[in-house]
Amino acid sequence: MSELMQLTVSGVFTGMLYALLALGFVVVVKGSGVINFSQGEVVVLGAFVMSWLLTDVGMPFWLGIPTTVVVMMLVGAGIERFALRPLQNESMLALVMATIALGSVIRGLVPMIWGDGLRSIPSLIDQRRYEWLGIAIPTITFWSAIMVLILLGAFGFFFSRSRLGLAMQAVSDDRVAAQSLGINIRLVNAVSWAMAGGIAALAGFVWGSLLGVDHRLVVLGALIFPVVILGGLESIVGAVIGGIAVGLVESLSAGYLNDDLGAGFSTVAPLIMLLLVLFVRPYGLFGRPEIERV
Amino acid sequence: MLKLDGVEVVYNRVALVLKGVSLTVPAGQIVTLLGNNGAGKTTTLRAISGLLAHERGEVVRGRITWEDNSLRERSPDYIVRQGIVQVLEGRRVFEHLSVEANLLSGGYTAGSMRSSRNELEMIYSYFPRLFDRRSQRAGFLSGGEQQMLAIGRALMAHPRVMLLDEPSLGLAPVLVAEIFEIVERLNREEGVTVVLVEQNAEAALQIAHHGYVLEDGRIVLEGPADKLRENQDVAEFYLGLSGVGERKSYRDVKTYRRRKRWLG
Repeated sequence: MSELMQLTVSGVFTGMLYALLALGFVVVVKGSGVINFSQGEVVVLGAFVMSWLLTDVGMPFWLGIPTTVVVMMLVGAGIERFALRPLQNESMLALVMATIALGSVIRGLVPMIWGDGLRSIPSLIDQRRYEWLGIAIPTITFWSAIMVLILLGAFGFFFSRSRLGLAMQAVSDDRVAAQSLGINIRLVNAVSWAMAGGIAALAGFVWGSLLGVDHRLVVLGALIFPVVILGGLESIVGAVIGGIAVGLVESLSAGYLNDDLGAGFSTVAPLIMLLLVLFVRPYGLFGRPEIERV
Repeated sequence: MLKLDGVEVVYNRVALVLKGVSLTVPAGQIVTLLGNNGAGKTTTLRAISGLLAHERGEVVRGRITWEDNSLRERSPDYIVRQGIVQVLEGRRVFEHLSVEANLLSGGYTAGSMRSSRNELEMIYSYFPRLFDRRSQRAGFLSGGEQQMLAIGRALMAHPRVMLLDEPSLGLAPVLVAEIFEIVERLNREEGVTVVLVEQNAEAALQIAHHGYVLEDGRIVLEGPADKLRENQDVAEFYLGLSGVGERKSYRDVKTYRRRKRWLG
């Protein structure tokens, strides 16, 4: 019983960190309608920049973390400006292919700049575990999850209450109609990519602290898809729920099934769940079905 | 005054769609553009509103001015901020947003969210049905309600000129009458200048002050609305009447097609 509790709780907390990965993806879909296959790579880039600024450059945390966020926001805006804007009147497929290409470019650039070795991010909080009723949670996971909750709340508020947030949703719904109302789609696209970059910096910090920083972090990118397909491509609440679902499935299958099915099964389990969900609800559990009137 | 002078539009760098269109829309009037499918009505509106890029179109020649201010090669958001707002063909509401969110997004250029919220009441007074459905998703509205929403959403931007592209498309005659009546009221009460593109020439000429007939990218006829209604060609080709009150026979249509081929 206590094992089940332990697995559930750590699944939920890890799930929050998956939600952080997915949030950057969701923001781009919401603000420009583009399915961004490079978010995983952008997170890796964020982790490398973070680790470089904090160790090699030697910035303190209070300076290094915001600096990385700003740098990554500029990277995001730059991606929009130089890779996607020239394609803005092309089909969505062209844009999606461009993000795939972009992912490969970043994957190649990172080892070119920083080499192949494993880097680290200095620990902001001492590596302990909080224990409560026999359930242990690493401090870093706990505080990261809290940060994710605050961040998700802030973005939810931004999209539902602010003028720019509403404009972003309008653009993702119908680009031409949004333009006909004077919404500057270049600005909106640039802002959504900048946000995705900033989120990637934080995700890179969290995941880099947990796993160490090297190019293998890229595998995290593959987990974005089960999260967002479960949660719906443009739903922020969905990203949390999808993240938690993926975290739970992974943690429970690691606890109960890995012994019988082999050690790698917990990595595959979320993807199997993804397939099953797609059979039942092709637009995700919280996604929006295309509205068709008859 | 909105003025087009010898405007030519090319699609995909090769297809010349507008072949020198000149027209004048005096402030405070309703001017209608009539014509068949593919005559260039929508292209004319998009040339004004700057929305040609999505269709790979480009104004290659001519002048477009509003109050002596050139609109050519301006971004769509600049043109909206000048007070010229297009209501796209096929309504194009934001299907996944609520009716109210649709309206608020229309106020993007007009000011803060708070000032937009204060505007809502005015919109609902013109379109009481939208008030009843304000928290519903726009995608679930009926066609007529969506058209009302599209017009209401454009009104939120405080337009001085509204470019309406086929508001009657796919709507029942009762709804067409209702929407045209509201357009007329907006023109009269709010002083909104209207450029109305229509295939439903009869309905359009009833509320318009002035009309232009487009054919194959050129203006072939223009005049005050009441004169156009009396004009025999318009009566025959766009109002579907050959003699007064008589129905048109298919043979006449064929004659017209032949004649048009010769003239074109």
